[in-house]
Amino acid sequence: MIKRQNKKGQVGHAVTWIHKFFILVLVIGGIVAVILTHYSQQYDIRNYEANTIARKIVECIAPEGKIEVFSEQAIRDCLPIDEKEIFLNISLGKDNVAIGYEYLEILCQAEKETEVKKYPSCLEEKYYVLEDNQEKELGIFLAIRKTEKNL
Amino acid sequence: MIKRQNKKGQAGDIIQDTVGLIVVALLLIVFFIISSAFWGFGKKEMQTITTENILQNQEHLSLYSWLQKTIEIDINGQKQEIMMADLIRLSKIDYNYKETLDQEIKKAYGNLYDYNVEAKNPEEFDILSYEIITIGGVPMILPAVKQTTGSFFYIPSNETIFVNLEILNLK
Repeated sequence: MIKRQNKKGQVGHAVTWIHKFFILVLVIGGIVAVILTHYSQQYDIRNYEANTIARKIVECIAPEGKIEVFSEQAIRDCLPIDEKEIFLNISLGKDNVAIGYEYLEILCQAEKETEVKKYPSCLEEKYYVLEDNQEKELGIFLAIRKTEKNL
Repeated sequence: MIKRQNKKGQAGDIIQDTVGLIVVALLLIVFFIISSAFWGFGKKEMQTITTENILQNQEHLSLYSWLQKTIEIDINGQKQEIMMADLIRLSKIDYNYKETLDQEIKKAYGNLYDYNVEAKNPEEFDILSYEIITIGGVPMILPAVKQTTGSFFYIPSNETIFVNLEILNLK
């Protein structure tokens, strides 16, 4: 009689443990799911990238706010530019240098008027700089595609 | 009798665990919503920081290069070439140069930005309170001024002058 009761008790105990194990899996799974949802969001860091590229170029062609050399080669020497993914338009007074995929500029214009799904990240900056003590406007327009990695 | 009580006990255990599970799940959802509400979603936060950074870059370099620009002005009947930083100093001593300074500021930034340029002594800032700050192990009482955005430069002079350029909008 005692033996039988023990067996039944053991089975009951096992059933309770299956239930507890199920709860444990559910709770841990829930925590993992919440953390994954929160941290697996794709971050669009192209605006950071655009800002960094613009800063690097300005520091390179106009260290301490004074223009040293302004030419396409001088800009290309500043940092490597992925021309398939980036469009760069730099103006100094009446001079202008354009590097990269020009179609991105059109998409940036279009984004202002219509909603483009896979839009590029666009950045426009204006700097007051000196060239031989003459004040000049240094304009930077930068567009980055890289939609596959960021959107 | 014992058997029956055991069964009841087991059922109570299961109900207790189920309620516990629901509470844990609810807590997880609540914490997730609170964390998102307080710290915002990643994308939004990064966008804000970048906008500030973009402006700071332009403010810093544009102000720095302008302060180095030299102009020719009339001082005591003599034409002299001075830097903008010196013109700011001069305008603090002789108020007549304030007009020339304002014209130069407008000429420099008027076509580029909607801007705000200020050249002030520390006492001209709105002091909110005083704070005790330890610098190199020495406690010092420093004024906590109103948070002003933009780029600051310090011009050494008889009296301390801070120059601030704040870009409001690109033109």
